Amino acid sequence: MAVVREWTARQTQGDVTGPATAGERLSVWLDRWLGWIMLAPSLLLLLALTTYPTLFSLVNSVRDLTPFNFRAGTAPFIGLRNYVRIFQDPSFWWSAWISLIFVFATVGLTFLIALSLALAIERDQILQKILSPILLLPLMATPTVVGLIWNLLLTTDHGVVNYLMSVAGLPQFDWLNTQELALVMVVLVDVWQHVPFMFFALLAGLSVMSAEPTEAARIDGANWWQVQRYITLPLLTPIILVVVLFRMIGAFNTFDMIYILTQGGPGTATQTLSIFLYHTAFRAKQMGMAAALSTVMLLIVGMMTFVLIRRLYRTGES
Amino acid sequence: MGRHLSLLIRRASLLALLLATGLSMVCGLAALSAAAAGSGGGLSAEPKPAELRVAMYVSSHYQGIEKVIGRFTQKTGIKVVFETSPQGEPYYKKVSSSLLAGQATPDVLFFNDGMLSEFAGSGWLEPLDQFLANKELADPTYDINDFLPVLLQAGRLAGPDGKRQLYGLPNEVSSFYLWYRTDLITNPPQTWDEYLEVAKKFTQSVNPNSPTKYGTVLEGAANTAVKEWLMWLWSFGGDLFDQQLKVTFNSPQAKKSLAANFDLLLKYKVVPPGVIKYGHPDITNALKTSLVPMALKWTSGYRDITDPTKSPVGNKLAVSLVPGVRQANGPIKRVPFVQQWMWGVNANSKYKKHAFKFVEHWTSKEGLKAWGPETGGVTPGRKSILNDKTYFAENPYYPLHAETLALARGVPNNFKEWSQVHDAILGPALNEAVAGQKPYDQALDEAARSTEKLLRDAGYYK
Repeated sequence: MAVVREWTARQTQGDVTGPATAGERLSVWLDRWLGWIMLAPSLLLLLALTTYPTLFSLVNSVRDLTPFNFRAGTAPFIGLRNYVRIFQDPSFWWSAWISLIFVFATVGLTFLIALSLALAIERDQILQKILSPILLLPLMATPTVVGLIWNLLLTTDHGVVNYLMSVAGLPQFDWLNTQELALVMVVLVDVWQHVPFMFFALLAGLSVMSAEPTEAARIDGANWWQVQRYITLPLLTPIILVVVLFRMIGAFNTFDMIYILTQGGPGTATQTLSIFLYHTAFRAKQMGMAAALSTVMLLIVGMMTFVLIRRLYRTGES
Repeated sequence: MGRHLSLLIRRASLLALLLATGLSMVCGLAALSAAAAGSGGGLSAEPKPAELRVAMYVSSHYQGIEKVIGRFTQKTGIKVVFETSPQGEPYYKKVSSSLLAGQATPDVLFFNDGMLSEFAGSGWLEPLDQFLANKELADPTYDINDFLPVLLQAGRLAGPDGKRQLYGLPNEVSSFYLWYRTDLITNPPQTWDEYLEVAKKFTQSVNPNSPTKYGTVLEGAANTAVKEWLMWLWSFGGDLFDQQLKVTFNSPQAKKSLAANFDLLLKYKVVPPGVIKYGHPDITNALKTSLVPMALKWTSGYRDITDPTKSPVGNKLAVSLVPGVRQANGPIKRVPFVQQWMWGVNANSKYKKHAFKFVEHWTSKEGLKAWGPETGGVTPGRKSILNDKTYFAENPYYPLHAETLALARGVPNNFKEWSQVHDAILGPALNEAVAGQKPYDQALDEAARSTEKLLRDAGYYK
């Protein structure tokens, strides 16, 4: 680096000649490219793990790929026919509708519960110490384990929930096999698992927030609701947007928990786009169509992210 | 200087040419020897593996073979490593993704006739006829004609080259029985009408004095519903396809049979509501826990479920032929569903001949007689064993086998798209129907249209 500094100093003094020795040239070259060299392994890894699969999926989305022609590499190019088939398939629109309900219901409910909890125990250190470890438990479990636990709890004939309902003299329900109840239960299980994540994020946001604006508002006579509505929530908006964005992407891509709980059933009552994608690839064996569907899902998530990030930047600017 | 350079270039070119020729010859010889190893020659034509990797799902089949696998290792000196996963979809997914990716392992696979169409149709399995015809390799005492013809037929499919070949050698055959509690039911139902009446009698919502909560069960999950319904469909005189592969599973008889099957849940409510997701383990549990007094159930696990030390109702269970439809002239038409599990060889295995020897051993009379009793309820598909009274006297876990196999039918195996029809169209359609999401007729009609489109796109219809 000393060589580079020396050469740079020479240049500032009007010396327009380049580095004279091989050592100088190597140092200058390293100075220019060292950053890229250090980044290269990570970039290559990123390319291998994200860009290549995405491109591979894009290529497959315009081929009639099935297990019968996968290994031979003879899947014919069919242009955008897979995309047309997706949009003509009523199952796609049904799954998109279920996904929409699932995302908005689960993110909305999770947000409301997490925010209420965070606001309620914001200033109560003892409650925070008691609740935090309890709330961490669902967060630590993998979605598959969550699905299995709730499957056992909600089983109709031998489930704990129905047993408790019978003890309390309440009617028993077929929680996961009834058209109307299955989606509600899937949403509630997802909410149960993700409230802690949002709660901790919002609580962290509240704890670093300056107390001055709220104290000033209280002195001016604002009640609790007015303080939350006009002071706390606007100040918390950037954090809210980030956690909502994360949760929306997570909820949209949820697969494992739903698959363990209902496999998209009964019938297609809980068949989200992720489940539909899985069925298209592994049951219908239409791998080209599944690749096209994954591209469509990527675009939907991209649009959701774009809208929320734009909003986030606008909030930051204002 | 110029002359030296020119000489050097000429010498280098000659050397390069010689090297290239040598390399081509080596490659050619290697390819020839590989081809020779693939089609002819004995075991010595192929390197001996340190171990053979065998894919199997965790079940009584696996527990049985694990106990006697040492016999194969003792005979061949080859260690066997099992690649296991849970039964059902997880096993299918694990095996199919390995094969799809073109992996060389597992060398040997355990699969059923439902998976055969996809595995063989995709070129993932090695045809076995070549090995059986290879006198240097095949055991002359193997006697392939000893298998029930229907089972051998179920292992054949037209491969990617259009030639109908044998891809799986039958290991065991499992069929449906009507299981019933002898302390509750004296005369098991013989027809579907009687089946419904007995089910009503043992359903508490219909008969508050019933000792059991529900009268029976059914398999309603998307991946199991078809198998049970087929017994209703066939006995009602319907079928899945005609000779020209035209869809017939939405015929009037088919619709009537589906209504009779699913009305057990949706109209009469004589089965637990959870049957929408029921598979074989749930049916077994329903019997074991006295939730129901009878059920249509596979034969597998016979010894376990009838063993009083393992099952609270063990000494109270008996089996009978599945019910059917009484014909106008008197007899009852019953068609038990039969499924067979077979062994096959991965087309990408490096040790195909050794893998074939594994398959040969465990489907031979010797192998089947050693393994069968260890499984607790799995019956070999060899005539010599099925007719061996001594064998069944020692292993009384499979009564009615001759009667059942004489009446039974399995899934169609004459086209490779069957698994797509089953997994993506018919199974989900039946699940939607049993969940009450779609009327029976609509579910079958839509499934028929989707199947026709699939088969038309695949070139089966002109």
